[in-house]
Amino acid sequence: MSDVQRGLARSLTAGARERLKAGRRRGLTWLRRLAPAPVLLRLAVALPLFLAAELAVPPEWAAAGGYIGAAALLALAAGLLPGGIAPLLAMLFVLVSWLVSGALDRNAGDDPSLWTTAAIACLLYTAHSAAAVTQRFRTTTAMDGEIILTWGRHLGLVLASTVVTAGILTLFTAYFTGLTAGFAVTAGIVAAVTVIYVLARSLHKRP
Amino acid sequence: MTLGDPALSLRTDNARPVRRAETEPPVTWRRTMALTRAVGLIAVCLLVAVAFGRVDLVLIAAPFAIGTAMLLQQRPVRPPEARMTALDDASCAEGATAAASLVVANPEPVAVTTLVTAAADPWIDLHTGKGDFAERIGPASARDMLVAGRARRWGGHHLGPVHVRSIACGGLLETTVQRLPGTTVWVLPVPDWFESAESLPFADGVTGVHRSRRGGDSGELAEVRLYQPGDRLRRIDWRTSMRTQDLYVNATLSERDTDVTLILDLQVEAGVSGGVDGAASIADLTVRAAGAVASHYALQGDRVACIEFGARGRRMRAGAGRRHAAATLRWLASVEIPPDPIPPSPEMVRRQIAGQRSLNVVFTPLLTDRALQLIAALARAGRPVLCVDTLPPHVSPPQRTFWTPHAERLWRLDRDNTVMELRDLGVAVEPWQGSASLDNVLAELNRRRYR
Repeated sequence: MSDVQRGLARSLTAGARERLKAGRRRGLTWLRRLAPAPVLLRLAVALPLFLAAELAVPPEWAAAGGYIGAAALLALAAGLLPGGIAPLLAMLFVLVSWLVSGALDRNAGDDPSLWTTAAIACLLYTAHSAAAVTQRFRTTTAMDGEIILTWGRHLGLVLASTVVTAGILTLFTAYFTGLTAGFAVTAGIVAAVTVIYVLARSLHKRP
Repeated sequence: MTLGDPALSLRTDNARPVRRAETEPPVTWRRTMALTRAVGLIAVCLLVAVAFGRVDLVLIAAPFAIGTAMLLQQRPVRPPEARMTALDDASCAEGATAAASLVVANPEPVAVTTLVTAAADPWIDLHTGKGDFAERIGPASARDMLVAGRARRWGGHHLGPVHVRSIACGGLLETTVQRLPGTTVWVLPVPDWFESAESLPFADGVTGVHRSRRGGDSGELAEVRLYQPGDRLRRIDWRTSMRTQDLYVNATLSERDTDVTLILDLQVEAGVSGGVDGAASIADLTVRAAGAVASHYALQGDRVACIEFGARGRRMRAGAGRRHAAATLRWLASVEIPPDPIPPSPEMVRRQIAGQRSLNVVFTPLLTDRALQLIAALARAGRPVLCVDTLPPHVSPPQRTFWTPHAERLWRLDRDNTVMELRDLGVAVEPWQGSASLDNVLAELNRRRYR
């Protein structure tokens, strides 16, 4: 080996060692600066999404390896990147699973209760609101405790309202089934368009 | 000259290309991905519920509709205003906390969350929770925040840019990022401890701590001699007079201050600085040693001046006292060694040195011929020169080939020869070793002076 080659090899070795050292130092710094609040919020995104995906399908599907893997992967992606499209994809995955399993199970005659639906709705909203709060925060961001408190208060209110809505729907199920199909569809479309219009308009409204 | 003259389209001397001045876009509120997601989910759920007659989907959309409506009830219109404010003392010592203050004012009657992300010089380790944090700001109020980190090395370090983004309505609305340029924090060097009991060879002022060659009123005993007309009565040494039956008086030497000129050789930098806790480079050693010597003599009452022998050739005026010592540390903090400097002229530095009688202390790694020329010229002119070797002992060239250690050994022998030649010229050369490291050479200079 010539002197030039030896020098080059030494430089490469020294460079690789420096990079390794710098990487280890960066990792240790990140570990030292890790803040509990954003990590817990990310957990509050990933765990409810995974639980909702497990609740949305019958137990025999929920135990299948492929389904668990897909649900866990999407939930993990949503937890790691709460500011992107991952939470939306994970929620759509839950919805599609719910619809497909509902369509197949209805044929089998096993209809899940409205309370399961309410649980899925609560879990989805928990994940959504946690992702909304934490979407711009890094795992090292030191968060004011009041941010978590406000989020908790809001979440509690919304979940309570959802449970009340579920109760109302349970009480009036018989009344809904008695309506004519045409009236139900018209009323549903009007209600849906109204809600969407109000929400979309509120974005552009200037007081 | 026409407009199409090619001379007009010549490139300028400035290396930076001509660009339009960049202005920061105004900060505005905008919707986030979370709001789009909520509205999209509600729309999908409701439409599918209507299409397939699934009431359960209405229930799934219910919390999203309720939550979004609740959060959007009170929406901010004007964005919060963020600005950096100066701290009372924008300088700190090495190893201490460098900080900048940030004020965010929320003009709206809605509480917002402000996310602050700051960057800093590599020499400032931002404290956990002081460089990346989120604070809640109440309705129509302002909040004072602190961006702070540990300064690991002397110098002017930039704390910033600081990115401020506000989030409202539970994360459904956010502002665009406001970029604040940040501030420069001056980190003063922490000088090594230096104490010298030796008197300086050339006492030159009116009053001070060094003994002069002239007699005068002070406590420094010169001799006991016979009384002469004009001697003060309180100077009579009664014990000797009783013993000898003649009047004897204690003659004393007057005490004077002197000028100390510190010349900092800042032509080359070698070694990797590890900050206040790590290994020192040439610049570190030079600045800390000069700070120690300057503080010692300025606090003692001598007039201390500093001259850069480098690309910039700055000069710090002579002065004494505590304020001057602090000002010298601030001057030393702005020392910098550009990577490709213009070589300085020894003649110009010689002309800057004030009197013939000041003590010149040259802090140099003895790596360039110009520094040697300067030291030799000062010594040949009969000025007292003290040379402090600031080459750190651990600094050596990177090992490239088999011959590197042998070449380094030859180079070190050559350097030792140079040091011996300087000593032959009457220059005291001493490596910097902190406290009392210059006492031996100062004593040697004194002996030479009073011989």
